[in-house]
Amino acid sequence: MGMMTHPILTRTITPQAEMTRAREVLVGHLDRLAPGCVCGWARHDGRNTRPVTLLVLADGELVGRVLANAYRADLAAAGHGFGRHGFELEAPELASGSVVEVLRETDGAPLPGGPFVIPRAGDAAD
Amino acid sequence: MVNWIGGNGTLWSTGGNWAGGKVPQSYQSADIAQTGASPVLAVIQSGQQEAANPLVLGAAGSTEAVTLINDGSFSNYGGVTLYAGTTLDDAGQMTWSTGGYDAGFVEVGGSFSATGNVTIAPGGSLDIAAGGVASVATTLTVDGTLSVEGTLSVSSGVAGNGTVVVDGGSVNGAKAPALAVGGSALSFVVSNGGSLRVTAPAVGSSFTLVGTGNTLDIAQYSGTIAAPIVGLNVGDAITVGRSGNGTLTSNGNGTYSAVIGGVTLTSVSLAPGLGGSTVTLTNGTLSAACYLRGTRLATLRGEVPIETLSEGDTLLTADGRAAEIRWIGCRRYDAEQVAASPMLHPVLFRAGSLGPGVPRRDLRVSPLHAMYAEGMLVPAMLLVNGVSIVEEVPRGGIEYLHVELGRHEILLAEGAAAESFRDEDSRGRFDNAGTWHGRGAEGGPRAPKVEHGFALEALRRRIEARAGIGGFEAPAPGVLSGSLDACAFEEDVARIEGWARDEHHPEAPVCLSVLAGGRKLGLVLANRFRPDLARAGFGSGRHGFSARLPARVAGGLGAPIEVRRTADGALLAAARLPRAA
Repeated sequence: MGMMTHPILTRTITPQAEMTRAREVLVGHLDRLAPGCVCGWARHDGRNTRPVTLLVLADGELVGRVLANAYRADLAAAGHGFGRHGFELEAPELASGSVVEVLRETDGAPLPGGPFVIPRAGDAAD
Repeated sequence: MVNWIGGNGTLWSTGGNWAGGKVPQSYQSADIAQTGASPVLAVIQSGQQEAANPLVLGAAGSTEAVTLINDGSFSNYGGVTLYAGTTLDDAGQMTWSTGGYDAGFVEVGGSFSATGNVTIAPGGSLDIAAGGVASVATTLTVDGTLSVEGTLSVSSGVAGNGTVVVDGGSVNGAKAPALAVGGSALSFVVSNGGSLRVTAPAVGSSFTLVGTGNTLDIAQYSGTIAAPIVGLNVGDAITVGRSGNGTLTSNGNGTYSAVIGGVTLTSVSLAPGLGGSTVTLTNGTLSAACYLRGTRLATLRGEVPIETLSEGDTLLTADGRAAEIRWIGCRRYDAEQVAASPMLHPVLFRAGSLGPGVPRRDLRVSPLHAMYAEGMLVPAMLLVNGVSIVEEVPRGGIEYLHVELGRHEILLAEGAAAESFRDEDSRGRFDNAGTWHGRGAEGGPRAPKVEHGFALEALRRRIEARAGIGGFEAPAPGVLSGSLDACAFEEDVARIEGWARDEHHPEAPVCLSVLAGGRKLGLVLANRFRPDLARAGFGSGRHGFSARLPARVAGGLGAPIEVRRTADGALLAAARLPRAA
């Protein structure tokens, strides 16, 4: 094993790569954050309606890998393709006070607004 | 007009931050916009009192990173406009309507959050534009008008005697806690597919539904709701905390009473053109899950149009068995109902869309009717791709039919596998529900219903490939580097350790799948800090992973262990567990 590539050599960013990256902005929203459950929606910006694979981390630990492809009438109505960009994850690791990160798997792009903190019971919401 | 120029810290009260060197007076417009590339932050400190007429964050037609934090006291004599990208974070006190001045307004195109009390005075308004997001952590008092095209969440409740208009937006969306409605006479108007989630409404409130596709979610578990609900239409949904059929009973004065799963709504009036007998409620939702008239089902005597079948006829199931029809439900919808409700529009599966010769001819089912493929039952609407599977908008009325057998079965409709009827509190939607003899499908569903996830996506992609739909691909991961440094027993526990990173996205944590003998054991994330990696120049050094393998692996000594990137299956490394000492 131990195949190492020197980071400097591989970090050349071509204009082409930059253009690709510009199209790859992650848009979405975390709609609900509660102990045991997160849900929201996410998609690639622009005309790309392929679903996004998301990694959900709580305090740095992976708690789930979900595909954001559930139908939501509100997203369809808002013009997001066929509206199939919802996600929901239920996991006991999502405890009160946990810092939750929702990242696009392919490039680590975070869901806008994150990281998120699961409110403790009785806390006033932000 | 006084423009923010910044350059002297973030405080509102610093004159040097404003053009002209003076803080805006209460009669002056305060405009905070981005002057360069940097985001703008302005703060009203605790104990500070400021005012403006009006306050404008950002600029029309552009997205700007402008944030105003109010920890003090702020009065808006002419209102507040928040353009896209901007944020007003109110942790202090804000008022935007006072006597003697024009009633104020707040227009939210960006983001607005308040932890202090928010009052909309008579004549005042809070408008949350499409895309705007607002949250209020305390009680929101609406004596003027609250208009929501975007998203609003209110933690504590809403009170007052004004009007709340939810126009295509959402107030306390489906998953949020229900909104406590404490007002004595608040009027709610939900239109154009808006969604409103409330607790049991007060008697003095009213709910008006305009257009169709609206959702009124009343999270009450039992009891009676006397607040009038006006304009219920096909395609609207009233959801209560319990499931069950709804029936409408005329009150004799043009209104109806409805009972849904133990909750009683005492005053419901229908959209123009609908009569009580033409409406059925299923968990409060008007919908359909059936075959369109004309669909041919496989029987022992060949393919037969569904409308010519009778009880006692024998159908052929997808797995080749004979099954007797116990009941046939039918339901007609007139042109007006069909036009008003997308959930009644048939989904057309073009011949050959699902497989070679499947379906044999064009097949039309209702959007919620489940098709069977690869071990899953999938609602037809989730397979619409705009090319080989499309939503049809019929010009006139339509008739849906459904067949019920001794149990839930997979039938062949125009040669495609699709479900038979299974009563999920949905029998009541048929015109002829009264003809049922009480003997229906027994047992559970034939296959799991799948509405999201990786397996459904794979199915969609295969269907799209048949239709020649190419298009966008998700961004591909970059070159994978890393190593598996350890794969060994430590005190009888099998462990693996190593590091991995994506050379194109070096700071993205890499999700890895661990397999033993080709079988997936689980996922592990390569995001742990390793000082050696940081010293070697690998960015933040957060690329390490380690995992304990399940005990059953230890039983299979010598099993080949593989670590692959989950996103694309790229192999990071493979090793064998040594024989335990």
